[in-house]
Amino acid sequence: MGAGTVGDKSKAEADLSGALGRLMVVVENYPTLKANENFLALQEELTSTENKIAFARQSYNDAVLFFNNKIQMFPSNLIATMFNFAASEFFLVEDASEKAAPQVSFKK
Amino acid sequence: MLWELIHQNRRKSLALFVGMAFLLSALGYFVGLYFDPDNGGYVGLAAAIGLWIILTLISVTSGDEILLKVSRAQEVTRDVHPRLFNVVEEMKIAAGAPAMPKIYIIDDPSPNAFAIGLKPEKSAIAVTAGLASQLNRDELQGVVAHEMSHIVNRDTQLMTTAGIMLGSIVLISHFFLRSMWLGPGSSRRYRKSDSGGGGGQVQLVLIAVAVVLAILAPIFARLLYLAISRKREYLADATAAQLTRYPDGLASALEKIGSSGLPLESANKVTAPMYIVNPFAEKGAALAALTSTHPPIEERVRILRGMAGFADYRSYQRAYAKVKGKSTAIIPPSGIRQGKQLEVRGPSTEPEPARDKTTTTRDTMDLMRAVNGYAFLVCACGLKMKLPPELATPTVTCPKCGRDNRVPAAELAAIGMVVGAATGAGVIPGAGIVPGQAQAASQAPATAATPYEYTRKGTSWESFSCGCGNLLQLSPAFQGSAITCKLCGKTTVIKQ
Repeated sequence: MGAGTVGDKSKAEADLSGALGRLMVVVENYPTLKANENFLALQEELTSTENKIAFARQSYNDAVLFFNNKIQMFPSNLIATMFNFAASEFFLVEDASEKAAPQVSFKK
Repeated sequence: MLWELIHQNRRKSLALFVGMAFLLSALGYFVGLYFDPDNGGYVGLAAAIGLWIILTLISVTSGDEILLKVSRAQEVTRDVHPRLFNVVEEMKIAAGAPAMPKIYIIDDPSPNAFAIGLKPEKSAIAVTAGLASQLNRDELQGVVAHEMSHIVNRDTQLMTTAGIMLGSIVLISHFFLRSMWLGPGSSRRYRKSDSGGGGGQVQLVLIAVAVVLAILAPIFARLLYLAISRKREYLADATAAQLTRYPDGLASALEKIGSSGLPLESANKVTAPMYIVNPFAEKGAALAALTSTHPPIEERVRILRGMAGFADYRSYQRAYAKVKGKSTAIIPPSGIRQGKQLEVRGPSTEPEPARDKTTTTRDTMDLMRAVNGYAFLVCACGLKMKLPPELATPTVTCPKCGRDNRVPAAELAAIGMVVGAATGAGVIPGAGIVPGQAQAASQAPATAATPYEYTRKGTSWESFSCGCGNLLQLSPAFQGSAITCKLCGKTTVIKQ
């Protein structure tokens, strides 16, 4: 928490998502839990939270791409040099497994 | 962001307003002349301008609500369909929209969706119950991304304006034509014909012009509507593919929608262009493609699936050129220019919803009931009872096993939450509660404060479900004669 630069934020977010994965409970002892309404709601919330994080990261990276293009293309590069705009860094995914869709699996 | 498209839409909206003013003025002028050849023209003109002002005011303030009511859409809260809410929120984040659109569900088993709104801050997405229950998460995301693209690209601004204007032109023309067939126009004509023979000819010409305008105006308006719709569907598809990074999701959603075959009952000619798939489309109607407001589904699917593992605008342009056979630039330069080739992500791992008709119909009907404020009550025998909001009796007899189930508190019923006398696994079913409950219910049938009873089976740990679904636990040390449920406040008498 309290991460400053984009790089720090990226590392913090990776830690958070890893923690979410580690929160998964073993349900092999409770096979009927999978059909429980409350469990399905929990699964939905977890999936959507992971998705929202991923889409926020994607939206940020799109904006960074757009900005980096703009400061290099004419005529906006003139304004950029006037005000010393520098290229922003992307919010990179540290762990390759994060690129996969959220797997809400409750197996060990 | 497809800036050219956004600017173009804004300009066209403005042009539509202004062009509408001219069209209405001409219509009003000649209609007025028909009724009163001397001064009627100016009266008609004034009436038309007044009408245009009224229309503009209506469309700006409540155009959205009118279109939503006409399509029989109802606003929903998060509890009714959390997955839909979450997917819309995800797409709002991905598209960078300034505010969450309002979400509506349409009472119809045929899958379809549309988006409206004069500006992205004040927009709405409407989805049919059939769509919300039949699509899996990727497909739902694709459809919602497509609608979100319409909002963010300002297509909805243009389409909402055009919808209100088109509707009003049709209305005026109908009114005029009907009054011509039935009305006293002819007698008024003769009343004022003191200008001699020359005057009679002029009047005939005026009548002809008025009739021609009245007949042509709706056709022109519809042609205008068609011209603005088709290209935008492709662009929305391209934007949706980029937003989700998964064009196959939208492709399979379109396939599912196209193959459902159910007609959408609440769609009419005016609102049809706003849906994601033409609600009047019949399978295999190739001729309809010429005059249709939507490009054919097969083509859209082929383009999306032909994007070959990439999700950016340039890939869409390439796939479009390949499918159409000609290299018309569908994506404006700002989309092509952005550079990076974006790879698709993997599919989501959520299970597919069941495709058999029984489950599909049941899920759709349950969703429609939840939207309309029904409560769901699960009996101990496993039957899921659907209680209408007007239900007044405190207990409901299960039609399958005959048990009397207590109707839960009014607030729970209002949001359609599922409550159970014996909820699913993970909660130890209190074997002693059911007969006790039935006894208590039958002893005091219609009074509100019927005491519940629970007979202890021994002196060890025991637990049972309160009528509202809360689990009440009794420790070995519990000595009291009654226990109060924290959730609903019901008191259950403990018998040894």
